[in-house]
Amino acid sequence: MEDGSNPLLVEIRRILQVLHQRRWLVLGVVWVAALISMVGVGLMKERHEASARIFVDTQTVLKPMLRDLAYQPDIDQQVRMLARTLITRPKIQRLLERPDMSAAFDNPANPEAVVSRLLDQIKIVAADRGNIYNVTYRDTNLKRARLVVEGTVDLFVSAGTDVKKKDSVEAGQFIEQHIATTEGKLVAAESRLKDFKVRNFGLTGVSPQDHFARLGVLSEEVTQLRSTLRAAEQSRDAFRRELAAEDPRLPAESLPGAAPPVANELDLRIDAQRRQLDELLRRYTDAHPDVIHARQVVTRLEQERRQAAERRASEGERTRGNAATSPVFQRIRISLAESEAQVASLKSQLAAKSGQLDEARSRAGRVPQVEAELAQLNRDYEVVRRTYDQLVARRESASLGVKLDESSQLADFRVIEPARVTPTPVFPSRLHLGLIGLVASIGIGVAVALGLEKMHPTVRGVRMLEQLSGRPVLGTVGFASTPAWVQASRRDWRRLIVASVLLLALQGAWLGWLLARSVSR
Amino acid sequence: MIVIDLPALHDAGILVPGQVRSALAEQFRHLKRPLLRNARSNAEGPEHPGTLIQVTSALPGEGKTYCAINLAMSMAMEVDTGVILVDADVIRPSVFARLGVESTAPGLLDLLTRTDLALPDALISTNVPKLTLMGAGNPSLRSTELLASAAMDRLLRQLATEYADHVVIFDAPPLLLTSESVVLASKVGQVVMVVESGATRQDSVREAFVALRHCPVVLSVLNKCDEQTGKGRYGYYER
Repeated sequence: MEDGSNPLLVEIRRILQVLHQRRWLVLGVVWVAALISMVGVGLMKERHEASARIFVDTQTVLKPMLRDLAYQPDIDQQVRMLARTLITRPKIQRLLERPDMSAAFDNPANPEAVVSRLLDQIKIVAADRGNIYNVTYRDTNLKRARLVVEGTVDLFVSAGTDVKKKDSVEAGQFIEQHIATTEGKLVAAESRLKDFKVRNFGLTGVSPQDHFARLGVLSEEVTQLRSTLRAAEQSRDAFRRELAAEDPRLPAESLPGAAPPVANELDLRIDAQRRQLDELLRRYTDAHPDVIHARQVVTRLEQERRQAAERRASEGERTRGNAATSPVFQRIRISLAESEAQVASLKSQLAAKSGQLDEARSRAGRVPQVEAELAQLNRDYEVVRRTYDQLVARRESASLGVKLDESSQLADFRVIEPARVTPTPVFPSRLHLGLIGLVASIGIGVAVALGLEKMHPTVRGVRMLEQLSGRPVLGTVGFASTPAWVQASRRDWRRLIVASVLLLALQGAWLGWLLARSVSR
Repeated sequence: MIVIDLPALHDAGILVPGQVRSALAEQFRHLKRPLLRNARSNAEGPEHPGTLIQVTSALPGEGKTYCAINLAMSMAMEVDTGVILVDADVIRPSVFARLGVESTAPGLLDLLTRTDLALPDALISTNVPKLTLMGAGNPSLRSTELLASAAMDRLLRQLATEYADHVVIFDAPPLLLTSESVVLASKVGQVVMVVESGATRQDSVREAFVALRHCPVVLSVLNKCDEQTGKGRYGYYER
C-alpha cells in the first residue's frame, strides 16, 4: 500500500520507478541525443563579437525625427530610433563597397543577402549613461567582425560631418536666394512709392487736417477779399459820383473866360414859346393841334439848348484838355484812380484766390484716398524692408554658427573606444554548448520516459488499481528473489552502468577536446 | 502422477510448500484468504460456483500463470482444501512448462470434444499432496465455442459438485486478446485479474475490467509491485 505521508517523496519514488522501468529506453535516447549534440556542436562555428564604444549626441542626431513627435520618447525608444537612423541600407551598401570589406566578405554572389544580414546583426546598444553607445557585431571570422565594426563607426563619424557641412551650405544658399528676391521686391516697392509721391505731389506730405484747414483759410481769404473788393468798389463809385458831380472847371468868375451868347438866344426863344404854350392852353385842350405843335417846338428848343450846352461843355473841356483847373476835381480824380487801381488789384487777387479755392475743393475729395494709398505703399515697403533685414541678420548668424561649429570641440559623433574583438568566442561557445548538450540529452531521455508514462499511463499502486477497476484489490505480488533473477538483475545493472559510463566517458573526452581548443586560441 | 521438481521450482522463484517462510509465501497467503472464504461461502449460487476461480489478465506476460501456480501451491498447503490447477490457456498452455513437467494425459479441450472421456481421466495428481493438475488438451480452432458449449457447463458443474472440497484454479488466456477467457469468466465463480504494475496501460486494464462487468466476483492482484506495507525492500527478500 502507498504511504501517503509525504506526497513529494511518493512522487519522486514514482518517477524513479518509471525511470528504472524504462531504463534502457532512457539510456538509448540519451545516447542518441548526445551523439546528435556532439555532431551539431562539432559542426558549429564559433562566433566572436567585435564592439566599439561611441559617443553620439543623440538629441542632435535625432532632432529631425523628434521634431514631429508630440512626446519625448524614452531611452529605449531613442536607442532604437538611433539605430534605425544610423544603420540604413544605403550606408551598409557603401560600407560593403570598401575594398577591404568586400575582400573580407569574399565578394559574395548575393550582396543583398549580406547587406540584409549586416543590417540585422549590427547592433547599437546603450551603455553606461546618456549618450554613450556600444556598436557590436558578431561573426565567425575574427577579422571580419572587427572590420565591420570599424567600418560602421567610420561611417557614422564621416557621415556626421558630411551631413553637417552639407546642411550649412544648403542653408547658406537658401538664405542667399531669399535675400536676392527680397532685395528685388524692396527696390520695386521703393520705386512704386516714389512714383506715387511724384504723381500726387502737393497732396502728399500734407495731412488731411492741414488740408481742410487750408481750405478753410482759403475760403476765409476769399470771403475777405470779396468784402474788401466790395468796399473798394463802393469807394470808387463814390469817387466817380463825386467826380461827375464836380465841375472840372472853375466857375466863370474865377476863370478868364466868357459865356457864349448862343445860349441866351435859345433861352429867350424857349421862354417865348413857353408863354405862347401857356396861352394856348388857356384857350384850348391838349388835343388841340396848335397846342401839340407848340409843345413840340418847346421840346425841340429845349433839346437844342441842351445840345448846345453839352457842346460847350465838351468844347470847354477839350480846349482845356486833362488839365483840370479845379484842385478839388483833381484830387477827386486821383483818389478815383487809386480806388480803381485798388479795385482792379483786389479783383485779380479774388480771382486767383477763388481759383485756388476751387482747385483745393476739387482735390479735397481725393486726398483721403491718396492718403490711404500712400499708407498702403508705405506698409508694403515696411514689410519688405523688415523681411530683408531679418534675412540679412540670419545669414550673418548662420555663417557665425558654422564657424562656431567648426571651431568648437563638440561633434555629433566621437569614438571613445575603437573596434576590438574579444579573442574568446561569445557565449555560447562550443564548450558551453557541449555541456549544455550533455545535460540536455539526459534531460531528453528522462523527459521521454516520463512523457511516455504520461501519455500511456500504467497502473501503479493499489489505489489506482482500485479506482480503475472498481473492484476490490486482493493484494500485491512482488518480485521473486531467485538466484537466477538476482543474477539477471545484476547483469542488467552492470550493462546499464557500462553503457552510461561509456557515454559519459565519450562526452568527457569530447568536452575536454573542446576545452583544449578554446584555451589554445 | 507427475513428479514436480520442487527445488528447481523454488529456484525458479515459485512457491513451494514446505519451504521456509518467505515474503512470497506471505503474500500469497494474504491473497488466498478472501478467495478461500468466497469459495467456502459460495454466496453466488450454483450459476457461479465459488470454488471455480479463474486467473487471468488483460494482456499476456503480466504474470497470470505465475500467480495461478503460486496460488495453487499456496492453497495446496491448506488443511481442509485441495487444489485442482487447470491450464485453461488453450492457445498457449504454459502451466506444465512452468512446472517443468510433461504429460500426455488428455486435457480440458479433450474432455469437451471427446465423449468417451470422463473428468477423472484428465486429472493428474502430483507429488504435492493436495495439488492436482489438468492440462489444456489438444488445441482446437473452436476453442472458444467449446468453452462456451454445454459440455463445458456440464464439466464445470461436475467440478463444482463432485469436487466441492477442491478449489479449481483456471489459468485462463488474456482477456483482451481472445474471447475464451471472457466466456470462461462468465461461468466461474471468482475471477482473479492479475495486473502488472507499471507495464500495462490503464486503458487496457479498464477495458479488461469492463469485459468482466457481469462477473459477480472479480478481484485484482497487482503483480511485480514494489510497494510494501513496511515489509522488506525492493526486490531482495529473505530466501
